Amino acid sequence: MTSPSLTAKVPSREMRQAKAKAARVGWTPYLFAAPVVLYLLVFQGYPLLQELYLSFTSTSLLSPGKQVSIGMRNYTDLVGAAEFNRVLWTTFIYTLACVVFSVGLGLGTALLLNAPFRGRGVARSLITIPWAAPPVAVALIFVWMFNAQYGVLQQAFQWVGLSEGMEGWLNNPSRALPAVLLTTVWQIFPFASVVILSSLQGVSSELREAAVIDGADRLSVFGAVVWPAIRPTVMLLTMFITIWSLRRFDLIWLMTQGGPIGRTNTLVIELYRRAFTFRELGEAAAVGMVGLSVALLITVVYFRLSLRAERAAGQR
Amino acid sequence: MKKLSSLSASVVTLAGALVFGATPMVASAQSKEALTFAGATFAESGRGEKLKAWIEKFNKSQGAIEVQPVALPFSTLAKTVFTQMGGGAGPDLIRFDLIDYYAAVQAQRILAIDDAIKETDYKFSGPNKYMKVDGKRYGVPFEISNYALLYNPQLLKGGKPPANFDEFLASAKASSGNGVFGYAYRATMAESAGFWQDLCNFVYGFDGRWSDGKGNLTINSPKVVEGVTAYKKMYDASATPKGADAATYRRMFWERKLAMEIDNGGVAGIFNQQAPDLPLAAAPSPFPTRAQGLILAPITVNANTKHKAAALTFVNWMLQPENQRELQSILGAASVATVVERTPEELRQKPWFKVYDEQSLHSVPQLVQGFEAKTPEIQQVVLEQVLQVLQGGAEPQKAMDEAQRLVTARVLRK
Repeated sequence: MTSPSLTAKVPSREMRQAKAKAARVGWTPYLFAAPVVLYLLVFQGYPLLQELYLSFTSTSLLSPGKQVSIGMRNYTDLVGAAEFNRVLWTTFIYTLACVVFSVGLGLGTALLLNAPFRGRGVARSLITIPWAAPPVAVALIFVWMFNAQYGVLQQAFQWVGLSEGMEGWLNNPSRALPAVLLTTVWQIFPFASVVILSSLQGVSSELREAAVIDGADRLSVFGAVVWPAIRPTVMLLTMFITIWSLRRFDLIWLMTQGGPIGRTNTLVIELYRRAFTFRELGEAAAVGMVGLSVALLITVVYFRLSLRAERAAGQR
Repeated sequence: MKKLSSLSASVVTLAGALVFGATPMVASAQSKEALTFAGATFAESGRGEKLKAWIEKFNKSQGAIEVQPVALPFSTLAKTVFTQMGGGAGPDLIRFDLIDYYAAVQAQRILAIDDAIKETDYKFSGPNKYMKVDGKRYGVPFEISNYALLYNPQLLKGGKPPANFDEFLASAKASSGNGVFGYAYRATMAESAGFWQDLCNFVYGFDGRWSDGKGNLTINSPKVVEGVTAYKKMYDASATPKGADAATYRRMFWERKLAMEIDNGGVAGIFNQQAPDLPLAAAPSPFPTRAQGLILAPITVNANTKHKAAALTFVNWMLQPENQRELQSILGAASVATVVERTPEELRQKPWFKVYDEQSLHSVPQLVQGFEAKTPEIQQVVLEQVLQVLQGGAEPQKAMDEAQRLVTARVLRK
């Protein structure tokens, strides 16, 4: 009979095997990971630290080598400034609308494209075209479509009485953001659609059939069978689209440059304006750090929600 | 085997030709010291190609130097070049606008060139005085251009230009309709540099100035507010193609879809080149005073250049009388660094030259005097507030009060 204390001190066979295996593996995993870690440190970590440092300085674009330390001034100037609050609000509205409309439309079209109908393959191919188009080309085409003199969309809006005056949507303070959103959603919803569609194809058909046999209607089948299966994908998609929308520059800049009168001025546009229009790299870095904090916050919230969902699923 | 031999021979011959034949060409290209010259004018239709040909004349005259023109869009030239300069690079020669010239001087991004350009060697024109900063010369005028009202007499009622602002508004409204607009100007941040030029013309025309020249801002002074109010009146007159960029409305002008615009002499030259049959006339801008903006684009040498001597060789070549004369004829109703008299033939063929030349006495740089290096930042704040007037329904006086406050706090940090 062995005492419990003795048993605890002598490693089990499995543990010994695991230790031996670990000894054999040695540094190999670290060597494989090293290039990526090195890349991230050089091209992400170092610039990030530089940006953090810049945000505490007054640095001109014309003399980036001359950095004058000013402590928290760039941040205190941002906090409470009505103009910056408006930038945050515009960013929030733009991001929220992008997520709601693109995921919503993506889900709807994915459900449609998952149902059997003639020409489904062609439809699935066609829907990816907006996503495949380069954002610069999309922005320029939409700028022409919204052009007050020659644009087809502008003409269409005029016919239905939705266009006052002649300034066009992109120059109208109350319509510029909807116009930019329309363009953005048109371009990104196909991505949501394709991702959700691939997730839908993994939903067990036996489960659906069983639910139908049990008398469930379409909505109940979706709620009880389909949604739980695609929920993690939709969550991940939501996080991606949120972060992409927070940092989207090309479409907005090319369409409005943040105007008119700041109505489409998001965090990234404000960063660019401060860096290249006002030539204040320190202020721009502070705006960048605020944007990074928001993105990190969203990522943390997402992972906490995912963890909670996993635990809840485990308890069931 | 025979086939293989002939193939081998061909390969060897080709390789020999490539190696020995290419060597002299490479050596020739490398023997010339290549330097770049960035400017927005190289991208302009008509003038751009002629300017490139003019530079090519310099290249042919030189055995050791080659200047390569680099066309950058007007709206992004300063941003692009300043970013490159901040990184220790950039073009060797740059044609800046005056507004960016002072910022570059203050940041020590362009070289003082007094040692190479002697005042006594050339008969410089009046605006040359703006090239001196703290007694040092950092550039030489490449193009000097005044502003005047350009109009198409066939599209104006009675064919006569307006003599004052009320007539101007009435004339713009009367000319609009059936796909034709009475007047066009810029009013978007996408074209902030041009928007500032157009705004300066209105403000200066109403006798406003952005500062008193003694270190005090006058952005919210009554005269400036009058100019902004006039800008708004034109905006609300339903006579302008709102949102159209300068490239679009200038095209509309030579396509006879635009009756009037206030523009610089360079543009008048472009119209004349693009559409020689276009009925084109010029008149003083219809404002209470004759003061208007002045385009003064200096050629400067990048402080990062490794080809200073070659760059200055080009600048001195540019200042030679025959090259100045040719440059002036390419630029249209604009003038160059030195005084070049127009020939009677030129004045007969292009009578609008006279209006532009006479405007020289009344032209004022589009700068905030006393705050020259800060003008780009001041410009942004002012334009955003003017947009609040045009599109946000703000009162001109309140908006200019806010602009004065923001410039003082944000730009001057007072």
